[in-house]
Amino acid sequence: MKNILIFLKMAWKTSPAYILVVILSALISSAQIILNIILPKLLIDELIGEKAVARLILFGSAIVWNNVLVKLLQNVIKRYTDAKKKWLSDTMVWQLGEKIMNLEYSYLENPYYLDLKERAVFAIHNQNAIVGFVTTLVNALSGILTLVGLVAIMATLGPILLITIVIASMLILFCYKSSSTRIVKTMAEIIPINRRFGYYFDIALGKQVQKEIRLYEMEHMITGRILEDASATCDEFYAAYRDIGMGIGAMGAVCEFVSAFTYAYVGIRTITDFLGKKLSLGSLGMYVSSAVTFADTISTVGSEIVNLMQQASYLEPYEEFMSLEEETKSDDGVIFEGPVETVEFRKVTFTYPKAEKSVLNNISFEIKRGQKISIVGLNGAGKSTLVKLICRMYKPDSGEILINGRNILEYDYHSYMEEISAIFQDYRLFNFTIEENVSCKSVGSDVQRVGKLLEEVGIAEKIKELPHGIKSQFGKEYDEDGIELSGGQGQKIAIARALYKDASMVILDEPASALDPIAEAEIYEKFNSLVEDKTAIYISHRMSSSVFCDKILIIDGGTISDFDTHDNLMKKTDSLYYKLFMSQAENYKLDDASDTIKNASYLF
Amino acid sequence: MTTNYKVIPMLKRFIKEATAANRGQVKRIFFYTVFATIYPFMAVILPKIAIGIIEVEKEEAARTLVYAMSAYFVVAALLTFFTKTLNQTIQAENMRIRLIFLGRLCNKIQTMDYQYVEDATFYEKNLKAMNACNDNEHGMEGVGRKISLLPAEILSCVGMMVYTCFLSPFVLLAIILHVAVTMWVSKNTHDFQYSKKEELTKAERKRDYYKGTTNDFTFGKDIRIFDLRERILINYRNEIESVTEINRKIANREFVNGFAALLTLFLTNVVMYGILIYKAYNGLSISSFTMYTTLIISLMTNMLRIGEDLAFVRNEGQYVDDFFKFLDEKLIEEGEITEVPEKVEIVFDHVTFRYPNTEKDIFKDFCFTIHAGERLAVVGVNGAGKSTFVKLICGLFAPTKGHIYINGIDISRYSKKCLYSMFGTVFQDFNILAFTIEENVTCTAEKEDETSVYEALESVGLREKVLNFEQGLNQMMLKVVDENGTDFSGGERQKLAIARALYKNAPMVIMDEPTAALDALAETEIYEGFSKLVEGKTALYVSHRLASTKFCDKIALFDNEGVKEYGTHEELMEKKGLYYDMFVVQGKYYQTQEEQTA
Repeated sequence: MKNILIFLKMAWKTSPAYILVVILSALISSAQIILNIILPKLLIDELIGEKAVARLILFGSAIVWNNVLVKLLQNVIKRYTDAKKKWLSDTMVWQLGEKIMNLEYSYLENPYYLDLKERAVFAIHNQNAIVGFVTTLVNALSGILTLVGLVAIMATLGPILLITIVIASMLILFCYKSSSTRIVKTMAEIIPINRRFGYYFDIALGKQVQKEIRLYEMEHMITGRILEDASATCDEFYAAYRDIGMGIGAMGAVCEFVSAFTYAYVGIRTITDFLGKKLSLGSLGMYVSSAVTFADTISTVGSEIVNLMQQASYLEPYEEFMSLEEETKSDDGVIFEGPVETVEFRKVTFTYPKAEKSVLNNISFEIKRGQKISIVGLNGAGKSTLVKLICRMYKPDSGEILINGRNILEYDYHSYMEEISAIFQDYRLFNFTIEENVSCKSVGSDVQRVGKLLEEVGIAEKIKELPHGIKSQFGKEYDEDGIELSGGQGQKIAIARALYKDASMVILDEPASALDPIAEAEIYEKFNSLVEDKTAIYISHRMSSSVFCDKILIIDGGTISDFDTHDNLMKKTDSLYYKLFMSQAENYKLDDASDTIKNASYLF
Repeated sequence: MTTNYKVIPMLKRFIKEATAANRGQVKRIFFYTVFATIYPFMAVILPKIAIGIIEVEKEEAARTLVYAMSAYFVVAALLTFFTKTLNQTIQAENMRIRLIFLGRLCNKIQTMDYQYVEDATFYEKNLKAMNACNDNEHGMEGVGRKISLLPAEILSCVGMMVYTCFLSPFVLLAIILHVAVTMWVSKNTHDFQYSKKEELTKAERKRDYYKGTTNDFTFGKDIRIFDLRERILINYRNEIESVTEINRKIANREFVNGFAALLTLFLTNVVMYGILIYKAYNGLSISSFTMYTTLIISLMTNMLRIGEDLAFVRNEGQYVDDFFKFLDEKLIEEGEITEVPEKVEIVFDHVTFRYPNTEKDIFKDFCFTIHAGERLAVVGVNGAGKSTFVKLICGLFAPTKGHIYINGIDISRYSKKCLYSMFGTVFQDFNILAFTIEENVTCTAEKEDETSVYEALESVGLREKVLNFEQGLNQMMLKVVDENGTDFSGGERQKLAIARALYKNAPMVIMDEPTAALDALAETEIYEGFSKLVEGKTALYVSHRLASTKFCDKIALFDNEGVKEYGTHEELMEKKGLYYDMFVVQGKYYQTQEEQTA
């Protein structure tokens, strides 16, 4: 019940007009039902009574107008709600998007919140839960309103009909409840089957695995699994649908009982006054309609209430997500006025949420303004984690990160982020123009600077070939005329974007992984001139890239095993750095080309 | 909306195949039709019986009424019970029929020629056919549901029409007019909606882009670093408004059209109540009056529903028809040779290749030979066509021009099954699937000899790891379908993929750029694993790093024009060409160091 109020409030805040209109529509349909029961009584009584032509015409037209005008009103309402309900769903998802962008980044790497978000979006978009929720709620209210009206009519006949109806209603609700319990049970049973089914089905129909399916003849194994799950699902459903069908059938039988009973009981009262005041044939019709409508409406109300509970449960993930605390918004910190003079890690320990082992363990080091630092370590050593900590995407468990002598968490978030630029290994570009992707501004970007950077990362040529140059729209998702770039080209643009941002510190996490060797080498060589005098942190699997850095930070097993220059590190032949370096160098041994190699190494 | 298919043949085929797939369904539908045709008349005759008794019999009326109502209750209750139960079981079985069709679709897609998989236009063209089995409400099952129920609906409708004529044929005419106009309104609105479809799809795509961008967590970092939040929100809001504007236009059209239906509704009501009141005024009994009112209202509802259902079958039938056409389409081009050779030699003879529906030649007049038993390394920059080369060899694509020969026989003369059997390939984007470890290696659900599976795992160094699982080879991979599933590190997954290729024991092995995301130590291990795999076989190793080339007999350097250089490592270094340059570039920092430490 509490949930229902929360969601109603959410929908109300987004569009009060929509809520008012659907309530109005519910009132109209209740009124129509009641009128359709009362008006025929007046007509019939007139037909067996005085047969006054004027009144016959009056009652006849009342029935006709009741039907036609209500339909007109419904059309007016439908015109409004059709467009508005999609708008409402879209807006709820929009609000979710806003929320996601306001959250502290750490939520976004937590599988729990990823799953929660998926469920929230699924509820709104696929299950159409918010619209369904409002509609069901209103239908339930309208049903209850109708029931009240019908009770009022039937009460004029005395208690016998009412008591019978109440007992019949209880039977109907009982049948309904057992049917819906049956559905819930079946649904719960098929969830795991369905998930499996969906997974194998995606494999069979998707593109991802098709090469291997052909070369390894996997189709029998995969289709076999699909049919197995399909048949299991169907067996479950057959049993459930049969039971549900019997439930619905029983409800139908009860309704038939109500009709037959009412005709018999009220019929006797039109024949004799043995059971009470004698009734007219018009009243007979009215009471029968009331009773039958009551039995119908009670099962509708029952189903709407169950639906309502279900819709509310669909919406729970949305509600949970929307009430997550937003942290990045807080503006109460010290304004960071940059530039970055020093970066210091002081005994920093960090563990990912729910992980058992810490990724970084008591790490301390210091970087000075303008230094170029390379971070080296095995897969999973915590290199990217370190970067995320600097970007305030996570908070250390203990210890602190100081920039210019102050804990970074004390700075105002926005002013702090202005001084930090980054390219991540999983960088994303946006479906804006290339220029906007570099400058991240829709107006007022420095076109010359964009051009110069694109030149330097070595993609200017390619862009000139495009019909719209740097104004070309990127990506086909937004605009079908958008251009697609290869992984390497995209990466170059991402590098340009990281460097365009006027920040005094830049982080490059695997910035060249998608480039071919020549382009990669070019980027390495230009690296120093590209980052200019910015403080730079660089992560790469290519050990060769660390040669040109001022210092190399070696992370091994969550601790810093070394922090020194390349030359010094290579002197320790038992170190991880030496091993990593040599294992790659091994493959590039040149026997007779050492002269050229020496020269090449002094090129920059 | 105009349909471009023949409805009747579609229905015939659907019914034929559905009944062949599920015999019991015919029986169910027959009984349902009998019960469901009669049942609606119960509500119609009830007032006639009950009020009739009251009107006519004065003496024994009360008793007769009680008997009659009891009899009515028994009959109506049984009818409704069986109708509803049958209805539900029919729907459940319709789902089974859909899933049988779905299985056929899965087979079709998994066995069609691979070129279609990478052909975006193919998917666009066949999207409707592929989605025809996707849900309960539309496509195959949607049509199935409707045509199971329609016979009963139509029969009782005909009965009611005849019955209505006893009152007055004018009422029937008015109802027919109203139903026709209502259907026109819905068709016209539908057509209008259809004419807006492209505009709407476009607007929705733009909206969905922003929905995706805001909802996709992987954008999170860049949005924060480059402060794109406000901008994305404003754009997103604008796209939502554009979509709403189009929806509003559609709703408006429906509203305006709706006046036509309102007019006929008014007319029908006037005719119906006018005639009823007139007749009752002139002596029609109240029992008949009530009966006819009920009858006419049921008839109107019934006819409108049939109209909708027929339109539905016609519209959704398009997807059913597309689906059948898709199943019928020949999507495999293959030859007749089925015997798998023991050794494989591959010759590219003036091969030109471009991907379907693209304009750029990946290979142009390309000639090349991989000798039987040779270990070849293919290196080159991104976009030089290395992965395409692999796909051509494996027969996943056919050359646009020229020929590829395997052991001197044109590749197109082999059956696809035979061709695929020749290669143990580890693709760049290999997949570990949510099956058991054993199934991931053997690629079949049949139980295979465990020893050879363990042998394959041994060669890649995974045996110990697998033995440590309580379930051994039956350990499930991945957590998607089984929460007790396990997952391997990047290097181990790669090894498992290699074990799969090894287990296949094909005459040629191919490994395509496997080391993208691995650290230096894991990378070295993989190189060594591959060396074991290739013993005595024709082998192809593709990489954009040069480091892997040393254990190969020959190296081919690809650039955008085709093979730029070819020879042994020593020969190519001697030549001081592009290979040499690349080697120097990639190795120079390492080399410098070595020189210094030496």
